[in-house]
Amino acid sequence: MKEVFSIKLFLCKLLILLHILMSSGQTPPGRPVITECRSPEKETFTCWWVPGSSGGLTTKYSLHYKIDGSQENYECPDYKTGGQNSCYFNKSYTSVWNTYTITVIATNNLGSNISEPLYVDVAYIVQPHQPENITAEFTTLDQKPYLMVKWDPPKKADTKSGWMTLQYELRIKPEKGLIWENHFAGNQKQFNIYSLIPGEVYLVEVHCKPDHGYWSEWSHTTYVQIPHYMRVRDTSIWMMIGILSGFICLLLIWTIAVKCNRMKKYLLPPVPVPKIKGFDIQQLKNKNSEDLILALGGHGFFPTNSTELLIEFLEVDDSNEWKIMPCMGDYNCQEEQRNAFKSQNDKDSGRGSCDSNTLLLGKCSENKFHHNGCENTVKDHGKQEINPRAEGTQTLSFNNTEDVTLLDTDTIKGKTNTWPLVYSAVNKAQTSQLLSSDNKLLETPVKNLNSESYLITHMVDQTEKQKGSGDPASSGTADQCYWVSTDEATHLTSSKPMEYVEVEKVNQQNILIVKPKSEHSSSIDSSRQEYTKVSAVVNDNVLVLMKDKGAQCNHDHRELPNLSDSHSLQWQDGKLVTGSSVLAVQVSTNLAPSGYVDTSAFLQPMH
Amino acid sequence: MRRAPVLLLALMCLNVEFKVFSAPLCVHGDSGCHFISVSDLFNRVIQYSRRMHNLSSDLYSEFEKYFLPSKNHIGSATQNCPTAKISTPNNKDNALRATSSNHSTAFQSKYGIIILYLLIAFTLYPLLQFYQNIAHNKEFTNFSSSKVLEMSNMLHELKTGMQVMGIISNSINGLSQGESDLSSSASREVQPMNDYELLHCFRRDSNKIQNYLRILKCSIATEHAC
Repeated sequence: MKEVFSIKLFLCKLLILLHILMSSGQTPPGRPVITECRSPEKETFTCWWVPGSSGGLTTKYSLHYKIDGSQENYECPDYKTGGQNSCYFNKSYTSVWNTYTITVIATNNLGSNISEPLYVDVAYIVQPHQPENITAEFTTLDQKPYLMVKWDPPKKADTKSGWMTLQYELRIKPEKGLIWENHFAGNQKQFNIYSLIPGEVYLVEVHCKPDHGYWSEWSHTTYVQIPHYMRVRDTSIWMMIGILSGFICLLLIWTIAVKCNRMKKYLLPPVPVPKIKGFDIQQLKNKNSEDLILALGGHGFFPTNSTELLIEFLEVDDSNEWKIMPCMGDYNCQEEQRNAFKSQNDKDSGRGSCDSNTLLLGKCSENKFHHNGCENTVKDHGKQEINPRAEGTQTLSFNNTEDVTLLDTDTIKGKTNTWPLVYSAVNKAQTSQLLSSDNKLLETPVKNLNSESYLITHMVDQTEKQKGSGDPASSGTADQCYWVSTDEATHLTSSKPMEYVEVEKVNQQNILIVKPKSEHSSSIDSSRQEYTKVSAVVNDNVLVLMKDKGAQCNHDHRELPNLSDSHSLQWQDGKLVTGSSVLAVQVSTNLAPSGYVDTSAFLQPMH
Repeated sequence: MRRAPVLLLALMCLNVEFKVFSAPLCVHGDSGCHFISVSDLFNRVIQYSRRMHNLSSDLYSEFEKYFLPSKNHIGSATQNCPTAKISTPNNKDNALRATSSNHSTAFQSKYGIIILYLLIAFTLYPLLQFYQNIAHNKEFTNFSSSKVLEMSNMLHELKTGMQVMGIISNSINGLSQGESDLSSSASREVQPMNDYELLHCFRRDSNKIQNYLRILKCSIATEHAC
C-alpha cells in the first residue's frame, strides 16, 4: 500500500511539474546541427554549429570529440576564438590524418540533446585564406601586349616548405561587363592575359585551393587600366580595308580604260550633228571650191549653154546588198567606193545623209533629189521587190530643178536596184557640155542584172516620164557620146573594180554623154568590161553606138556628124538592133529585170 | 611512371645525401642509361603518389555512396590499417623538424625510411582481394572496377621493385630491429579488412606519402621549386 502510495505521489509530482512546464512552454533543447569544420592552413581548425530550438530556457552547448575510434571523449578547448557556437582547435589539439568524431550537446534545465556526429579528417577540410598582394601590370613582349597578373599565397598557408600545395584561379572582367572570365593558373603565382580591349578598365580577382580541399574566398578586387595600343586585329582590319580599296580602284581604272569609248558615249552622248541632206563634209575637206559650190546646190549657177551637170558615178552591184555609191569627184571615187563597200552600216557618220558613200535609202526615203545634191539613194537590199515594169525597164530620171524625182527603185525579184540619179561632180578635165534645163527622159531597157551588164540610160525629161516618151529626135547630136559600161562585178563585197559611167556632158539636144572614168578604163579588164560608146540616139529607142572604146568624146564629137558611118544600135521593142554595118543582133526578148542591155554581144561583131 | 617508386627506393636505400646531382639510374638491366636529376626524380615520384591518391579517393567516395557504413564503423575504420603501427608525423612541426635540425642527413634518411615503410605497407594491402570482391558486386560501376584494377597494378609493381631491390627481405642496411620486424611481420600477417576499411586506409596513406614527398622535395631543392 505504501509503495503504491509513493508511486502515485511521484507520479502526481511529475504530472504537476510537467503541467507547470507545459503551461510555461519550456521544453528540452532542440537538436543542434554541426554545419562545418574548416582548417585554413592544415595546422588548426574550427567547427561551427547551429543550435536547435532553445526550448524556452537558456541552453548550454558543448562540443565533444573523439580521435580515431578511441573511446576517450574530449571537450572543445576553445569556444571563443571562432565566434559564437564554434570550437577552435589550435595546433596542439590538431593532428592530421586522424579521424575526429565531433558532437555537440545542447543542455538546458529540462534536458539535453545531442547532434549528429561529424567525422573530420583535417587533411580534407582545408580552406585557405585569400591570396594576397595581387598586382596587374601591362607589358609587351615581342610586340605582343599582355597583362601580367601576380599574387602571393595567403600568409598562413605554408607553401614554402611544401606542407601545403595550392592551386590558383583568377578571374577578370571589364569594368562594365557582367560575366567573369576565369583562368586556371595551376600552382604558379603569375598569369598572363592576352587579347584585352585597349582603353578599358578591368577587374581582377584571384582565389586558391589546396590539392584536396575547398576554394578560398575571392581576393580583393584589383583595378587595372589598359593603355591604348594597336591590336593586331585592328591593324589587320585596316590593312584589309586598304588592300580591298586599292583593288577596287585598280578594277575601276581598268574598266574605264577598257571601256573608255563606250563610257564616253554613255556619259557624253555625241551631239547630233545637223545633217544636211546631200551635204558631204568630206567634200568640204577637199577644199575644192567648185565642189563646194556644187555641193551646196549651186547647180543653178550653171549657164544654160554650158552647164555642167554634176555627174554622179553610179556603182551598181547586183548582189543581195545593193549599194550605190556616188562619187564626188572622180579622183576620190575609187576610195570612196571601196570604203562604201566596207562600211555598210554607217548610219550616223555625221556626214550628209544622202551624200555619204554608203548611202542608205532610209535617209532619203522620199527619194528626192535636193538641189543641193542629193544624188543617190541606196536602198537596202532584198527588201523591196522591184516590180518590173513592162519589159523590165527602169526609168532613170533626173531633174535639175529643185524637185527632182528620183528614180524609182525597182527591185528585181529579190534584188534591189537603186538607181540614183545623182549629180556628180565632174572632173574639170572632163567637163563637158551638159544638158540644159530641159531634160529628157530616156529609158533604156536593161537586162537582168545577173548578166552583169548595165546600160545606163540617161536623159531625163521632166515632162516625159513615161517610158519611151522621150523625144528621140532631139537626142541625136553630134556631140553625144554615150558610154555604157558593163560591169561584170556581181557582188558588192568583191573587190573587183566597178565601172562607172560618167556623164560627160549633156549636149544641147538633151543627150547625156556618158563615158567611163578615164582612170578606170586603163585598169579595166577588157574582157570583163566593155564600153560601148553611144554616139547618138536616133529614135527614142535607138542607140547609136560607136565602136571606139577609149576614144574621148571630144573625138567623137567631131565624128558625130557622121552618124551613118558609125555603128549604131537600134532599139526596137525589146531588142537592140545594130546599125547598118552591123549585124542585127537579136536581143533576147526576155529582158533582164534590171533592164540592162548587154552590149557585149553587139560589140564583138563590130570588132 | 612504372619505375618511379623503384627509383625512389633505390635512392633511399643507397642512403645518399639528397643533394642536387645527377646519378645514373639503370634498373632491370636497361640499356641506355640516362641521367636524371634529383628534382626530376622527385617530380616523377610525386606524380606517382598523386595518381595513387586520386584513384583511392575516387574509389572511397564512390564506395560511400553505395555502402553507407555505420557510424561506429567510420570512426574505427582506421584502426585496422596495416600501417597503423608505423609512427609517422601528424603535424607540420614534426614533419618539418628536420629543416631546423642539424642532423639533416639523419632526418632525410629517416624520412626515406618512413616512406619506405609506407611503400611497404602498400604492398600489404590485399587490393587484389579487394578487386575480386568488388567485381562480384554489381553496384560498382565499370569505371570503379577499372580504378581498382589500376591501383592494384601499381602496388604490384611496387612490390616487384622492392623485391628486386631486396627490401622486403631483411637485408636492408640501416633498418632498426623493430622496423625490420615490422616489415617481416607485416608480410606475414595479413589482417582481414573489409572493403571500406581498406579504401579508407589506402586513401589516407597515399595522401601521407604525397605530402611527405613534397616536403622532401622542397627541403632539398635549391631552385624556386616550392
